[in-house]
Amino acid sequence: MRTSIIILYSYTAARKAAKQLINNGIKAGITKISGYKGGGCAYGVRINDDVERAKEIIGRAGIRYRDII
Amino acid sequence: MIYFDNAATTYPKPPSVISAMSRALVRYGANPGRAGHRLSLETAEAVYNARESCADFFGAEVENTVFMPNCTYALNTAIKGILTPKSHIVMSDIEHNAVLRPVYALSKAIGVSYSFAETSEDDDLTLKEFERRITPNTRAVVCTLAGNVTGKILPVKRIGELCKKRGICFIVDGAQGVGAVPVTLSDNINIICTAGHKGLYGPMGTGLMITDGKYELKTLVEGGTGSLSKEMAQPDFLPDRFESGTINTCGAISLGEGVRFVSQKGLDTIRNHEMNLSKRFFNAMGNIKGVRLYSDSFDERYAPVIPFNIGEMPSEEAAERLSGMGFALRGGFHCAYPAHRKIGTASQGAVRFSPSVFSTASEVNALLKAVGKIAAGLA
Repeated sequence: MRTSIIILYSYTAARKAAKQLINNGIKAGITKISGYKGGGCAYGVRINDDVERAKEIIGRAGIRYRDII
Repeated sequence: MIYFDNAATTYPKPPSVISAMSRALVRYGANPGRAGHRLSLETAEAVYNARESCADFFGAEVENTVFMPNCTYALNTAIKGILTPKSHIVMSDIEHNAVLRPVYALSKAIGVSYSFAETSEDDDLTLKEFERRITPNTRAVVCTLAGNVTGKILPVKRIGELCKKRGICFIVDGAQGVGAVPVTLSDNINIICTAGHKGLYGPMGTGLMITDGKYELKTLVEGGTGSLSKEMAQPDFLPDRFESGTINTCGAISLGEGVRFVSQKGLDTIRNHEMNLSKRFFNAMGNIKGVRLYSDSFDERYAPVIPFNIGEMPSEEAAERLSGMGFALRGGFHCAYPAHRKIGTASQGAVRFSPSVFSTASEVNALLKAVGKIAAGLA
């Protein structure tokens, strides 16, 4: 499965999202992104899993993501 | 020294907090939330875990739990963040300068007006007073959870309900009550500001601003947040918006340990212990000739804080004498002059007794003996 990065900007949001994903059986790791178009420095959550399912999980937790690359 | 100045800061700290601080200094030395290398991420993880513990304690979302240098900074952020030019704020008549001074500064700078709601032993009367002081222009109500001089616990849940009905932001200063009096955002509170180093048993240099996210606050400080570095504008998302610059990382991590200590010990256990010691102290002091107390009784309406005087002796002198006998208590006005005006100690100030979970009955007995000796010397 393709590696995707869910971009959340702050470390706190990224960690919260990663925790939700891990609790729901999706392996997730936090990564720092510097060149993101939106404004520079950002944190993201790297996954090798179904992105749609990941989006649904973090959406249910009320976490807003900024982009997925 | 036998320490009864826990209303200023708790001492000693739990061994787990001391260990956490020591471990943080050794292990979590990288700047959290800035780089992507392993050390930075590990430190960020430790800070996140502390933040999560604090969030859970107050019933908040983790991102709405902001680390602050102390409660004063948290209150300044909340008060100055919510008030607009010529808006109005209601405060109680027993507030600390951490509330009074930012409000006063805003009254001079941007024409903010303010009213004092008179507090009473009767919570119904207190509530009526807050209601009476609210105007169509009122933007916020701020009050202490428990007075730092009187110890009186205010009916914050009911005041919060009133504010919610009126669409007014409700800010609670939890510095004195948190850790002894249960309080969460679900008590109709929009923003809780508190110290990390009092009832939460964290180190000095820590505080928290906990918000329900309902009200947008202007920033006091802008700067580097480790996020959106290309943007000139301060981030609009929490906690980054209010955590410019490097936070007190070791402080935050050990504050998280303090919160876990309080949670594990149990608020009820802590409160019962401190209240039992306070009741012992209050009742015995009532039998020492020359001692002045400032309430008719001491009961569950109070946090474990008791002001007293020894005859007409200036309170700072009484505190100094007690210090010479090996007891640490604070005399004076406690940065809360209106509270002293209210209880009739406007000229003398008061000596303040405030135990912690680590204080003992034998320490209280020893203090009572010392007070007795000083009082007898005045007779």
